[in-house]
Amino acid sequence: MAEHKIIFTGPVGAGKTTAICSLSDIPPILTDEMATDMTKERKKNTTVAMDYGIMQLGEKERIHLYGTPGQERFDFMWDILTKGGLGLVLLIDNSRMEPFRDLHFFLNSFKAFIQQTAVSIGVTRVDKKATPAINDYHREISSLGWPALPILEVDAREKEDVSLLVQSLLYSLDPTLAD
Amino acid sequence: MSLSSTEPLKIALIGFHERDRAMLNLFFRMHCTTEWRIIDSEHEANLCMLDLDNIHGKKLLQDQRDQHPGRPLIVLSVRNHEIDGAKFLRKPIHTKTLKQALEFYYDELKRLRLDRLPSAAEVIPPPQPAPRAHHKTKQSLVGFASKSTRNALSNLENQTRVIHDCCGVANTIDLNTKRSSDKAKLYYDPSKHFLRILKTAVERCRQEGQPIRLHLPGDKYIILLPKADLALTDLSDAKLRPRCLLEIKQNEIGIEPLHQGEAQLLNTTMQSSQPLNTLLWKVALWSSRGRLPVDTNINTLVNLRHWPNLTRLLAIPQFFRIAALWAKSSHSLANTQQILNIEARYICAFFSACLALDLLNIQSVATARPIRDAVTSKNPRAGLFRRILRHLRVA
Repeated sequence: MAEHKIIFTGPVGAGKTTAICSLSDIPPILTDEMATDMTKERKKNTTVAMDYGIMQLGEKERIHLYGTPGQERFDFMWDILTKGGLGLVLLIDNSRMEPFRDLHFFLNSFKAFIQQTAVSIGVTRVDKKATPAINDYHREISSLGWPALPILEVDAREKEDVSLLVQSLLYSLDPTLAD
Repeated sequence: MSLSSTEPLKIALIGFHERDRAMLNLFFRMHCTTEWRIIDSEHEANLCMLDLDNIHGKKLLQDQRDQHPGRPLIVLSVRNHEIDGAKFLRKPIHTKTLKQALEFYYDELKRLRLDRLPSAAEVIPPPQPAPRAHHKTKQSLVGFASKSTRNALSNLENQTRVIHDCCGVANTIDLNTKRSSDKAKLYYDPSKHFLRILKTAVERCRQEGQPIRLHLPGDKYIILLPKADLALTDLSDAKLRPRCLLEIKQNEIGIEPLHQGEAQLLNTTMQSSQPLNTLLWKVALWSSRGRLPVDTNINTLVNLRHWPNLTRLLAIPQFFRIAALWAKSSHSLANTQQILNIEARYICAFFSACLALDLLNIQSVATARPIRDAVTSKNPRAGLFRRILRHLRVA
């Protein structure tokens, strides 16, 4: 069985668990636990280990979908998690106090992995807070010296949105992919 | 409902939880006892209501499409969907909204004399106008299998129609063509189309921060609200699309500034709104229809300033490929066609739409560029990526 993986990351409550659920062919294994710290203000349960789902490509191949824990104190796991990964899906919760701070933090934390592979950024909860707009994100990453990255508005509950985000990641890895 | 009838029409409830059925039973008893009667046998029904949030919702919808393709259908869900040929109502359902939908179908069914026998041959379109569209409502994405209800409704015919509207007809035109007949098919002049007026008006209203009203023939309006970043219109896509192809006569479209107060009032009363860029993108695609703005040099190098927000714009899979390529590095249009091995019409349409949204960096000096570079070198994982794409689209 050939095994591959795609990593989902982002701050607490950005929709990583939901996004993995929407793509997984198996009931995702959630490792959410009752939040006991400040994260409980945003989310009743928070992911302390990782979320996990599978996309089964035929009988001999599967893609593991790993969600990183939202809390920064678990960042020691990220190196282990990204090893051998195909690419990164970064979800940013637009309704949080400082979404750009989150953007900086995660792009910086996964910089080496992104440079080796690719990243697609999904901005969630735009319906709850419309600003910053998607164009503001583009300006922000440009000011940080990043090239043009796919930044798409997504609703993590909508399978289509998450699917398109992953498709943009795959095309970023190889635009010549034929249908 | 005000209509009276000696024999109520028959309605079947599909996929509803017992509790919801009880609530709907109560609704029908209270509001439309003379017009509608709930029945258990869905095969005898004149109209069906379906709960898409049922665990088998998509399958139930598919079954309805397969078994009763012409029968009117009301679909309910907590999430937004665009369902061709059916009336979609978002939960929580308001009594008034449901009554309006039922009234529409009641009138239509009576008009078509379907009150005795449901006919699969006659199709009743969903009621218009639709409930006020939220300005963040997504565009139908063409060519993707993953729209949650798409398996039931976005058939190949529908996809082909939308691709045709945006990218024109399939062709084998090479962007490097020397044939004058092919060259004539490649270009259009945006300055003669509605696109130029809309683009100018959007730029002006954004620059001045002042709402603008466009008067179109037939007493139709498009109102541009720069602060809300919205366009309001009483013109449907079906009506606007053909206008984009026609050459505009002088003074055919009026432009006038609008007072903030009036604009605010219209924003609360008009039926349909969409982000300014969504409208501009659509109009550019419909105007281009797979052609390039006249005088575009196909050897000029192009790259993307930033990605378009393709989850919220009218898009086809080829647009993702072109966006990814142009985001990585600069390429001429001619080389893009060779690298991606796609029809010229997709590149032309995407180029035109990106140009309308000012997303492109275009080098003024045309440069020939070798086709082979890092992007085109064989990716050892290309096969795997292709299998993932296929999985995502059919899932």
